[in-house]
Formats: sequence, structure tokens, C-alpha cells
Amino acid sequence: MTSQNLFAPLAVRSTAGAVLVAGALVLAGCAGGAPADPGATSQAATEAATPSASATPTPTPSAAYKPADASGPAQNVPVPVLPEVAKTETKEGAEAFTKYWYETLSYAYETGNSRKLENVSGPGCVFCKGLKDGIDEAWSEGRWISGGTIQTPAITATVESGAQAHAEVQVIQATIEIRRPDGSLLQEPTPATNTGSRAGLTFGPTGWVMTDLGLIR
Amino acid sequence: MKALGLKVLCVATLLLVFAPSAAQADVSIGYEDRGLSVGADQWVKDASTGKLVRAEPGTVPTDPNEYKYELQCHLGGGDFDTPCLARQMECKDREDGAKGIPVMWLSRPRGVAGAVWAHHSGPTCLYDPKPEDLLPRIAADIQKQFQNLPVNAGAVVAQPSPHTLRGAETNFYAEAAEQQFDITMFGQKVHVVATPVQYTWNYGDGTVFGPQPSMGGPLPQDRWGEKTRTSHAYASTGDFQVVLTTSFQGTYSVNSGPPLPIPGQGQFSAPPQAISVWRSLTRNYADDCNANPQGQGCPGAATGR
Repeated sequence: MTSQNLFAPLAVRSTAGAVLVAGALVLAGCAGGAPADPGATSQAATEAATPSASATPTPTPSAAYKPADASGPAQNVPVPVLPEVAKTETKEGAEAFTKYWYETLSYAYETGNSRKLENVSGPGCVFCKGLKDGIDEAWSEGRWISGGTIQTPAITATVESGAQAHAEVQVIQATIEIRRPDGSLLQEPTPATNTGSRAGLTFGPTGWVMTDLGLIR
Repeated sequence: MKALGLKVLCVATLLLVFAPSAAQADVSIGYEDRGLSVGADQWVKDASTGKLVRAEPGTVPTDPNEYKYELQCHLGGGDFDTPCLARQMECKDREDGAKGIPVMWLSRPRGVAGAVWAHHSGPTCLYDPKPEDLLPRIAADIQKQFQNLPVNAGAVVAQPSPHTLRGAETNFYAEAAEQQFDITMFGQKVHVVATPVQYTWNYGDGTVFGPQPSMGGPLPQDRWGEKTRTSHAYASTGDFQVVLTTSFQGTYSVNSGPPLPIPGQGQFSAPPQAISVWRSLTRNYADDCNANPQGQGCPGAATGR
């Protein structure tokens, strides 16, 4: 990624110099932010960094995210956004939607706000409702959850006509602590888990909905 | 007498209802825990088609994850993470001089395409000059070791016993429990936990029931003769040897590492339990034994089976 962006502006100036400079930059990247040779390289680096920075839209400056701990709940948790592709009735759409669904679940664990999760969960999804109820209970009486964030490193969807769309998902959840208003633990922390799930999906008038969530055993 | 018995039963039931609410139950909050507690659908990967199918009800649960370990601080190839090495776990050399090597355990769900390995637990110590292939060596041998462990299949209890009646429901149940063993394999301390999961009854008259997941349970004496999930009615009289075979599922943990599933189940049989099946005869007695001491039911009458 870095080397591809760097070559374009440099090649215009001088081919010989570009190769040398780019080589130095690549090396600096490998060292993981170790101080590189200053001089010619630093100028090239700033110039090269500009186009890649403008390519990714930076969100409006907001207060920094702070995970929950014993002193209080998480702050400024990034709000999940449904990507455009997730609105299509395709394999890619189903996969992007599944990823989004787990982001709303992770968001609910971290904030106690399960509205977005409910919006994309079908009324008959027993597991979805169970998760929401558990989060509501944990967050009641002034308590908060520390940890519990979810990652989905592997999602494979199958979207075929004549059968319900579904996705195989790897769900990794961090250790969960429930804190009382005084910061003490409500119960023993729930250990981290690494679970396989099958997500049954339905594409309706509002787009994808999680209708049938199960566990792969 | 019967009324008194009912009263006692009611008190016991009330106590049972009160007991759980006294202690505050934990909030089942984790993703997986919650799914299991609300009865989320369970799916298994069909070995031949590779497709997900609903798990049959009554399927014996197995660990859905697989495990491996990596040397602690190892980045791959010959590279190690130097800052990590500085705070690496110290594995004391064992009394026999074997060198300890710290490892980190990873796990991932089986049956999910493209699943990645994630940290599970550790570090723990392994004692082997070639820790890289130690686990496969243990895994290849563990099932044989498991089947050879002195696992107690459990006790067989029959109600009534040792005598029962032809045509009557005789209630059989097993008393089997989880058992733990410590063995040594390839120089490692291996801790094995065996859990009873399925039971097969051979009633000795040619009837075999199981394997099935119920170990049955005791009946109060005033209900003997009722049909239960594990009861059996003998069609003929005689002496029978009842054999219980219990299937155990096992996990093994290497030097305090995570409990790893032992593939397959171990079958263990309990010693045979003898039961005598008698027939009952109903007769009406009208004789005066003083006048006719040989009359039916009188002390001088001939008795038979």
C-alpha cells in the first residue's frame, strides 16, 4: 500500500532518484517507525503522504474513543455505518451486512444502546433477542459493560435463489466485565470466546435482516 | 401413610423452588453462553457435503473448537519478538533435567470457512526437545490411552432387586460420574477428564437399549413398577446378567494447557448385575389351616416358584 502510493509522484521527477528514495522509505516502513535517514527522504514522504490522506475521507474531528474500565463506560464509541454494498441482494451484500450486524452488536455491548441492533434483527430471531435482553440486563441499575467487543474475521455468505441466504461467521468476543456504579464487578468476568455462527438472512423491503441466528457446534 | 408421604414430597418441592432464588444468578452475557441459554439453533458441518445442517436433537455435544500452540514470542521462521522475549514466561527445568519451553495456545471454531487462529490461553510450559510436533504425537496416542484408563463405568441399580416379577416394569438406572486422571505421555503431565455421555443397557434377555443419553434415575418405592425411560419388563422368569456400558467423552490438558477434546468416545462396561425374575400367582385362600394344615396358603402347604 505505502510503496504503491509513493511511486506515482516520485517517478515524475527523476527515475534514478525515485528508486533510491522509495527504497529508503520502504525500509523505514519495515522498521516500524524507526527514525529514518533525514534529508531528501523526509520531504518526499510528506509529499507522498498527501494524496493518500485525501483519498480516505477523515471523519469530522471528535473526542477520542476511550474504552470502558473500572472508572466508567466507554466514551465516543464509533457508531457503525451500513455500507452501500450491504444494501444489495448479493453475496458481497450479505457479507457486508453480516459484518455490520455484528458491529451493531459490539456497539450495543459497549454502549448499552441496542436500537441499531434491533433495527436489523428480525422479530422471530430468538438468539438476537436473547443477546439484546442480556445486554439490557447487564446495563440496568446504573451498571456498564467493560470489554465484550466483537470481531468477525471470517464471513462467507451463500446467496442462492430457492434457499434462505446465510453466512458462516467466526465471532471473536473479548472478555466481558459488568461493573456496578461503584466500579466493582457484578460477577466473575466472562472469558473471551471464539465461536462459529450461522446467520440466516432475509432480504426484504428495508434490505437485509438477520432472521435466524444459530451456533455452529 | 400415603397422605403423609405426599406431604413430605410437597415440602421438598417447595425447598427446591426456593433454593435457586436465594443466590443471585449470574447474568449470562457472553455471545456463546447466551446462544446456548436461549436455545439458539445448533448447526453442524456435514462431513461429506461440507454444508451446514441442523444438529439432530439429543446429539452429544462436543467442543466446537480446535486448538494449537506456538512458541511464546515466536514471529515465524527464525524470528522472535525481542521485547516479548524479555518478559517471556520462565519455565523451570524439570527434576529430570528436561528443558521447559513456554507456548501460547490458540483456538478457532471448526466448521467455519476461513476461520483465523486467535489467542486462547497461556503461556504454559512444554517439556520436549521438539515441542513443535509434540501435540500431534500426543493426539495420535491419546485415544488409546483414554480407552485403557481405569474409568469406572458406574454402578447399576435395579428397582426392585435382586428379585423382580415377570411382566412388571423393573426400573434400572446408572450411577456414573465424571472422573479425572493424571498420566504421563512423551514426558508431559497430561490431565484427563472423562465425562459420561451415553448409556447402553444389555438386560441379559437379548434386549439391548441404547446407546442413549439418559442414565435414568431412582423411583420412590411406592412407584416401583411404573414404566420409565430406562425400565425393562422381562417376558420370562430366570436369572439374568444385566450389563451397563457407559460411553465417556474425554478432554486432555498438557501441562496445565487448555482442555483439548479427545476424538471419539471411550466405552467402559460395569460388572454384570444379577437379577432374578419370578412369576407371581394369585390365589384365594378360604381354608381353615387348623382344620386343613395342607390347604393353600397354610404353613404346611407345598410352595413353589
